[in-house]
Amino acid sequence: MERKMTFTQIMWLFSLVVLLVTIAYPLFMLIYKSLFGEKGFGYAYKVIVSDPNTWVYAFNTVKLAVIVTFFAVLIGVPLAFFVVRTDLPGRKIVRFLAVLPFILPPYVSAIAWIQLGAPYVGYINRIWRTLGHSGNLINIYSFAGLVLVMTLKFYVYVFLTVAAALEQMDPSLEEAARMSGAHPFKVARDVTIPLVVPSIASGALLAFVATCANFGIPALIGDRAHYYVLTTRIYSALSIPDLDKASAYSILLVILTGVALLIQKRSFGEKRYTTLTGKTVRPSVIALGKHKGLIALFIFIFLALTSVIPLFSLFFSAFLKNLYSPLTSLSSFTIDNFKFVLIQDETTTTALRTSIFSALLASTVVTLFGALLAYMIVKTNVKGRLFMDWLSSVPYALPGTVVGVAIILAFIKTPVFNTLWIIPFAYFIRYLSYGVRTTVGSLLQIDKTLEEASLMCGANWLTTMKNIVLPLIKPGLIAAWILVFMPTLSELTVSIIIYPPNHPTIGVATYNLMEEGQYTAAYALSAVVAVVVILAQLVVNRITGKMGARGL
Amino acid sequence: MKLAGIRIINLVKKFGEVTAVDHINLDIKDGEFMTLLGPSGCGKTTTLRMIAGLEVPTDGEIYIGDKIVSSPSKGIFIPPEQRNIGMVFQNYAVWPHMTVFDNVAYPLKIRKLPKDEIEKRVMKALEMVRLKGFENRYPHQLSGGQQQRVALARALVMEPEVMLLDEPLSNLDAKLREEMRFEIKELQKKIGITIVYVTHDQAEAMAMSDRIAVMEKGKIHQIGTPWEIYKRPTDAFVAGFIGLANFLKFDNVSIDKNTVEVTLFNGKVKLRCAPPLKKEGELILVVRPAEIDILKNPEPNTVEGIVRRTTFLGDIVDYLVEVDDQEVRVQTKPTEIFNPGSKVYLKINHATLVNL
Repeated sequence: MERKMTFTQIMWLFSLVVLLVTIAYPLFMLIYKSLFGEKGFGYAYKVIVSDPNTWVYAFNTVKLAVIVTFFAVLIGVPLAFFVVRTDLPGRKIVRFLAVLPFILPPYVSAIAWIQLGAPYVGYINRIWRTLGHSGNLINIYSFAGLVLVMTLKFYVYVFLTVAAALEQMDPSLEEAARMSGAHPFKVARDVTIPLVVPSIASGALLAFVATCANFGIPALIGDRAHYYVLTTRIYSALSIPDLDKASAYSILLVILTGVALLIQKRSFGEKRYTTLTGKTVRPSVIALGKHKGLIALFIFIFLALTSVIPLFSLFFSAFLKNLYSPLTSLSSFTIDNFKFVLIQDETTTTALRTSIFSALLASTVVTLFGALLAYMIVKTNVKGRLFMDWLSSVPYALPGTVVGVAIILAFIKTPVFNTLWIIPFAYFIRYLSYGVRTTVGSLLQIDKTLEEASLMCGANWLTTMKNIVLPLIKPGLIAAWILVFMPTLSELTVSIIIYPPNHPTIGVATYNLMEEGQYTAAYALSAVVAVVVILAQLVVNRITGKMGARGL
Repeated sequence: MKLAGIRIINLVKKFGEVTAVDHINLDIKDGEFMTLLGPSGCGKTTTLRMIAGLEVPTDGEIYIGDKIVSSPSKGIFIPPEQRNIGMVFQNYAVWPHMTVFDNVAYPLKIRKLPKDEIEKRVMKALEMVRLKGFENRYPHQLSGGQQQRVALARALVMEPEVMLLDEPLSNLDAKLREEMRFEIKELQKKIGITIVYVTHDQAEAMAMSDRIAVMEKGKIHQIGTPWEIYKRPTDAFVAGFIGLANFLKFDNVSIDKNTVEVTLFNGKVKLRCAPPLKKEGELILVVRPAEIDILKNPEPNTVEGIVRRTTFLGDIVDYLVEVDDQEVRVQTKPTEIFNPGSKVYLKINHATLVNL
């Protein structure tokens, strides 16, 4: 008996095929190629295992990540505590400034710090010498510089997870301790801190994995300090090109981050305390008393140094004629750098066009396809929907460099490779998870009865979708679109691996300008990226804020 | 165990422009079970939290025993950890990272009692709340009712002078709630502790309290025993909040020294009732639906009405009867059922004059 396929079945088949081709196949190729490279089974592993440098790179990656994570916890936890649990003035501004460096692409942060802390030409060192000293106060091209930039980038993970935990903690847990006779200090020791430890651990894990997976900062700063990590080594293996080695390094990097995840799950997985209540949360706020001013001053100086000044001086530098121009003379400043990158230079203008096109296409396709997947995951009970959910999330969980390698291995022999289309295609793979997760979130909040009520009013499925479901998830769809558009517009990690020679992206072009020593042009391009990203973030905040106000 | 009453004098709490508690006075005796009853936002929880020390009063004084614990005008504020008060929260607030034993032992550990003493007292407290054998469990392995009993044991273990309970039963299901009511009352009788209990559930308040303070909009309307509150409410709010009430317009009232005579329904009914508790303001007559008989045939001092709605509720029948231009709700035992449209006669057995 022949039966026509239902609409859902067609969509199911379509989604499954897309996911298998775009995600499962590259991942398979990554593992396959690392095992069965061109020189026989296991050759790549034999080479990397016998090469002492491999262990240096792996150790460097872990060492960097451990130290960055340590400082991230050291900064993130107290900052979260002050913002959520004390009467610190300007808490909203503190929160904004803490998150600000995080929304910039990592290579922009690296560039901002390079123009501040580069030996001799960096502002910090120029000011240092103006004050009568000799030599350099800091050298950003060092291990310490690497740790500094990455810590200031990634402590936000700890800050945000701990702040959320502190906000959502039921205040009566602490009040009960006070009623039991405990002084506020003891309440913190016996109740508050033990309860946020699991959140500190998950924030620390995020910082650890982000550090391991980051490419932009170690590429711009680490390489010059001769501090090599796995992501930068994968990139140089690709430029030889030695695909077997790159894939073997990639697997090593994945194992590394996987182990970290496992350790965190093992130690804290079961201890996720649910301390949320339905009651309106009113976190108890501690009065800082006479130290309030001092603490506030300290925090604001810290944020000014780490968040405001790097960004500000980046804009400043973007207007400099050249790095050695005296800062005191008005004639040192020009808008030529912007003219150069936005109008004159063929490479950067091509990059602008490529990135805008790729970001527009990728975010649109991700939003549409993500919504389709999300609908099947949340609102149907088709087979394999959890597998599809999982598969769509894998490329974002993996380091971008690894995803780039997998895409090369899978598609290098196809006609799309070496064309402009490979870029939006790669972005789609990398960021699909954003579209799925955001829409799943909005769909979950639409109670089934809202749809059922529409059906009972006589509307059919399509009308119900159009009149009820779509309007309710529209803010979610817009948010998903921007959430993909923003990072793809300035993407570096995947792009630098897969970009066709005549189609660089903004990220790639900026990186190359830095490598070629065209610093002021790189600053101008970074400044443009920073402005676009910050504006887009403000739009997202407005949209998600509105969603909150509507109880969605 | 040392017992202590609580005295609250002209207590005020303002949150910005909003006055949550507005000059309240309350005298709670040693070993008394006092309930603060009122709708949400009436200031009952804020009052409780000020007794606890979790909220700093704007004005007024609070004494526990003969010790003043809070007086903004005198610059006195004893922090909660030094007040030696046991408290049970609405959402239990049992620490999820500690076992039942550690939760209950915490107040004693803070007071640095010797280990064997702690052990002895924790066990005694757990026995009191019938949780012996659960010492090593974690809260997530317990039901809501068991968690609330852990919270109760934790509040009792340090043998406080006063125990505060903030809607402790509202997160439990109906059956468990009724059980816990009796358990808490029994416990209080056994150890004779002073309890201040906050709830919005009038049945809970009636069942447990020695006295009830009915609150609305930051003010206390009436303080009295459950019987007094029900039988002789001071005003329409209290009458309406505690149980069902008909508010009836009357034609005339003559107030002598001790007897009050009210005529209503165009002189067809004359009633004697106690004088209103407050002497000033406009009056209205409160008649409970259960205090009216519904009759088939006229009797002296009854009034004719038409049944407009009949609702059979099993053990009672609820009627809405139209009398002249007023609607009267009547609840009777289901001995005889009058259908809508029937002509009936109402006999009012008890009425109270209250202030509007």
